[in-house]
Amino acid sequence: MSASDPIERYVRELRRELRGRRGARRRIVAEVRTHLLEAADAERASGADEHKAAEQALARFGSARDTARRFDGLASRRRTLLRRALAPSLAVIALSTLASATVWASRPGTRVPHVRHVLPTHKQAVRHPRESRLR
Amino acid sequence: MGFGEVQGHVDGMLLAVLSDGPLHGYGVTEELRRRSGGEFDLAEGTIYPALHRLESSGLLSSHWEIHRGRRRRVYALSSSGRREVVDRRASWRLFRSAVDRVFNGEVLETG
Repeated sequence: MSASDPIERYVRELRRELRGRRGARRRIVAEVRTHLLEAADAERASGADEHKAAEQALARFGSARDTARRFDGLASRRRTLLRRALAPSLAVIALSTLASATVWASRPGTRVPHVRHVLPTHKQAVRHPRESRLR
Repeated sequence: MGFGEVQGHVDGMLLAVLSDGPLHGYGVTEELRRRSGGEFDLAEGTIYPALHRLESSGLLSSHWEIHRGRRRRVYALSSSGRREVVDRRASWRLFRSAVDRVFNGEVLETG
């Protein structure tokens, strides 16, 4: 058995446990693998045999599940921020669609303003939640 | 010291460790251990979500580097990260002296 086997098993488990975007997951896995290999190198330099060095590096790092859950918390925080940023735009789209449908239903053939003209700009929509938090 | 006691200070300590120059994740944990004299009993895996969060907040930047054939993600303070370290050091000093006074039964004369 090579020293990297327990580490590769751990990395495979971490990959299974992680959620979120593929690019983010790849980055996490690459960072963790390097960390564990370097920690095992340090243990070997202190006299541990290969297998023991890998096991000690893993024990110091914490379980794959716990590590993945900590990253999940980060991803859900990002999703919440994104939802807050997009909520004003979605509300305006819904309202303008409803208004257009109402006008069209009451006066068929009436031209209604294009949705683009009543939407806030992207910057306005994204800035809104943070500004309201700061107030 | 376990994670619970250190938890609220991890971000500040990571920024402080990086204030002396860029480091990759393993280097950060080694420097944290060296500076603390091994007092913090933190799972090393806890620092990565913190590093990613600090990067998302714009306090850190990072890039890949190849070292002895291994890819390392190297972290550095951004300009706002440098300002943040100064602020956190100042607020930590206030906090520490207040806690010291409480433990020692001292009363700060005000006014």
